This record gives sequence, structure tokens and C-alpha cells, in this order.
Amino acid sequence: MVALLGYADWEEENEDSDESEAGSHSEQLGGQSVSIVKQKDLLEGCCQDLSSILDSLLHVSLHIRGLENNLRLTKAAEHVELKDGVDVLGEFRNLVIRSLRSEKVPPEWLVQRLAEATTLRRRQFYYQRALQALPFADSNAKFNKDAFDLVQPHLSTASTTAMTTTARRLVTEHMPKQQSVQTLEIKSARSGKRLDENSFPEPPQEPEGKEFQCTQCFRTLLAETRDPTLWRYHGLRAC
Amino acid sequence: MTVASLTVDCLRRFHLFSDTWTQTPPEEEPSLFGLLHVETELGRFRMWVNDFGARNTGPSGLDYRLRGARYIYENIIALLRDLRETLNDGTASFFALPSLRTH
Repeated sequence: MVALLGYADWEEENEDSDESEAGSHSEQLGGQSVSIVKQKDLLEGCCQDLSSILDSLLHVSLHIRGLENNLRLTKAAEHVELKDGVDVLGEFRNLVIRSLRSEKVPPEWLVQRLAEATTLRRRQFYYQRALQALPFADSNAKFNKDAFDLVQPHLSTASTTAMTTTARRLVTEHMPKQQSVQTLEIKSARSGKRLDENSFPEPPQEPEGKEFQCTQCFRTLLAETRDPTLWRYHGLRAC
Repeated sequence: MTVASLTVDCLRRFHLFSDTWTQTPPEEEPSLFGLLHVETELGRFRMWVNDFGARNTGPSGLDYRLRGARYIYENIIALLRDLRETLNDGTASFFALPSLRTH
């Protein structure tokens, strides 16, 4: 009944298409099975057209959204973090994919999407960090460059080791025994820290006893998070 | 023809197309697509309509909001016209089926 009512509506709206309908009706008299196959093909074509038209509509909608472009997010999404000429975020993405696969997250598309989202989040952190570092770099750019030029020749591992050895010799020759041990420990710790690039960063000590901003994710954290265990947990899991 | 009027027309035809499909016996349905596909497409279209306020008239409607972007506006009008034609053809091919003719 619904179909008949629908047909009546449709017929009123499409008076000009009656000729083609009449043609198909005469074809039905010739052979109904041929007609059915033909109509099925037509319907399949219609369904494909429907999908492609709706895809295009949604695609055009991206342009409508694009009229209010969020520049900050766009810039963050384009940020590239390089370390020794290697794209850190590309490596990070591979690591996330490997980790998700080891946890056996079932579909591959979900792995890719999760990796993409996690990398994008990390990319935004790096972008924010780069932005925060910018004023400092601007105001002290000349000073930093001069300091870097002065220190650069001594930055290689060999020269640092030689300096430490000379310092040790001088300290043991000219200072009492107890003092020299302490100084030596400090010296080796400093040079060790300078050489070890993978050390876990310390939480910021300022402002003392109050809430502080995380240097990695820039969230405001409670003062208790300075506790080494909590800080490490935050850095590895929650950051 | 405005976006709002075309959208309302397309929605009406989409519902008619979907209702007609439910009346069709399974042996006469296309093998690659089913009713679920049509309903999914209808859902996508309704989502688009409600998301952008395409049915609305006045300042919240697409006709007003796209007044400064003629290129996008014409694109949308052309796509909605295509959609209407396709739905028309689809419904026509349904009514040409013998089962619906003899109902």
C-alpha cells in the first residue's frame, strides 16, 4: 500500500519520465527476467552514485569548515622535530605501532589511527615546547651563540675525558684526601650527565612547595608530583 | 532554487526511495547492495543536513552563511541536484519492477 501511495506521489512529480517507464513496461511483456536484471543493474548504479555524491558533499563540507581555519592547530600539525637530522616523531610513530601490535590490538586500521592520534598529540607538545623556548632563544640568542662558540671545541667526548683526567690529577695533588674524593665525585657526575643524553629530566624546583608546570606536557601539577616515583610515573605514563 | 528547498526535496525523495526498497521482494534487490546500504547513506545525508543546518532558512542556514563563497555554494547546489536526479532514477527503476507494478 505504501509503495502504491509512493508511486502515486512519484508519478505526479515525474510526468515527463512516463515515456521511459512505458518503454520498460513493454519490455516486461517481452521477458520479465531480462527486465529484472536490467533494473537491478540500474539500482546498483544508483546506489554507487548515491555514495559518491554524498562523499563529494562531505568533502565540500571540509571547505566550509576550512573558512574558519584554526591556524595554531595547523601549525602544530606541521611541526617537525629533528634530532641529529632524524625526524623524532616518525620514529616515535613506529614505536607506538610496534607497541600496539605487541599488545595485539585486533584491526590494523585501529592501530594506524591510534598511532596517528598519539603522534599528533606528541607533535603538539613539541610545538608548544618550541614556542615556549622561543622568547628565551630570541633575547639571549647572541649570548648563547658566543657561549656555544667558546664551549664547542671542548664538547667532544675525548676532550671532556682529557679535561676530567687533568682535573683529577690537579685535585689529588693539591687538596686534602677527604675533600678530593668529594670533588672528584661531583666532577665525574657532571661530565657523566653531560655525556648521557638519555637521562630522565628532573622536575622543576621553582616555585618551591607550590604547584608547578611540567616541562614535557606543560600541565600544571601538584607540588607532591616532585616526589621521584610520582614524577617518573607522570613522565612515563600520564605525560 | 535554494539549498534549503533542495535539501528538503532530497530528504523527501530519499525517504520515498527507502520506503519503496522495503516493499521490494529480496530476489529483486541488487546483489551488491541492500536496504542497509540505503539506510546508511540516508543517515549520512541526514547527518550532513543537521550538521550544517542545510534545511534552515535565515542566518543559520547555508544559503546565508555561504553568501560570500559563491564557488562552494554552486558546488553544493549542483551536488544536491545530482542527488535528486539519482534518487529519482532509483525510484523509477523500482516502480518498473513487475512486483511493484502488480501490487
